[in-house]
Amino acid sequence: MHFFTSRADGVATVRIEGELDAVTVSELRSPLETLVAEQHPRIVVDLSGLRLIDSSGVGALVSLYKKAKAYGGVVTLHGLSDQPMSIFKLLRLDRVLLA
Amino acid sequence: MGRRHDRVSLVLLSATVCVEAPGDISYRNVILRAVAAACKAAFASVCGREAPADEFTNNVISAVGEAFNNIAFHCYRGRSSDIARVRMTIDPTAVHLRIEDYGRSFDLLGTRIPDLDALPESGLGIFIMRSLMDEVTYQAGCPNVLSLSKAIPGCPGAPA
Repeated sequence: MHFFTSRADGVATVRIEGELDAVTVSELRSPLETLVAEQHPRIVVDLSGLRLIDSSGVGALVSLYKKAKAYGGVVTLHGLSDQPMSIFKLLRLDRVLLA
Repeated sequence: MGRRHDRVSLVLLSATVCVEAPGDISYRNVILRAVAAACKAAFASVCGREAPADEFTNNVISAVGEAFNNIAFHCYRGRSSDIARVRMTIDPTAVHLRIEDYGRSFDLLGTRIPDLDALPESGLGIFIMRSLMDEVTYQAGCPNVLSLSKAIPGCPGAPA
């Protein structure tokens, strides 16, 4: 799993590539907590390079969404396809989190 | 006197692949890649064609991944991990998976259905398995055995 973060004009962008699962999710926890602590009004998560996600990966993204919402921030995800999109639709997260 | 050579046909009725690895989360990808590769190989030999669309294989991978997570994080939690064994059998009608571990057992029937509207951050693994597979059963014991089955769409040779 690879991830990249950037910040500009009040928008923080996170791009996640590869596989976000029980093995890799721990790598993302600290960077996501930093974004939350910085209280960006808007966080965009680019998942167009994500090939595989499991319940652990979903949990990390949902956690980000809820923590940002708690301070009034907005988190949107985009670029989902294939297996990750199937999981999001199964969990009805496409209605809530997808841009 | 000449010998008569009758034609003999061999029909592969099913294919079974077994993969075993330590029940530690770091071996998750070993198991999933083996299952994905076995799907592809077995479909060609049993069904005579390429594996079904990616969606089918992805669903199997997702379910097996959640099962392995459960073994690593719950069955072997707090103890040295033993092995996790996945036996996959593909016949003309379905994929059958038998996933074994020697850790702590759990109550599959007692697992609550998550409230998806509440955006849960955990406890989704069993729900994902049950949603993506046609049959999910569990037998506690030594080993514990989680059985998953999924019908193959449009596979020739399936009984009428």
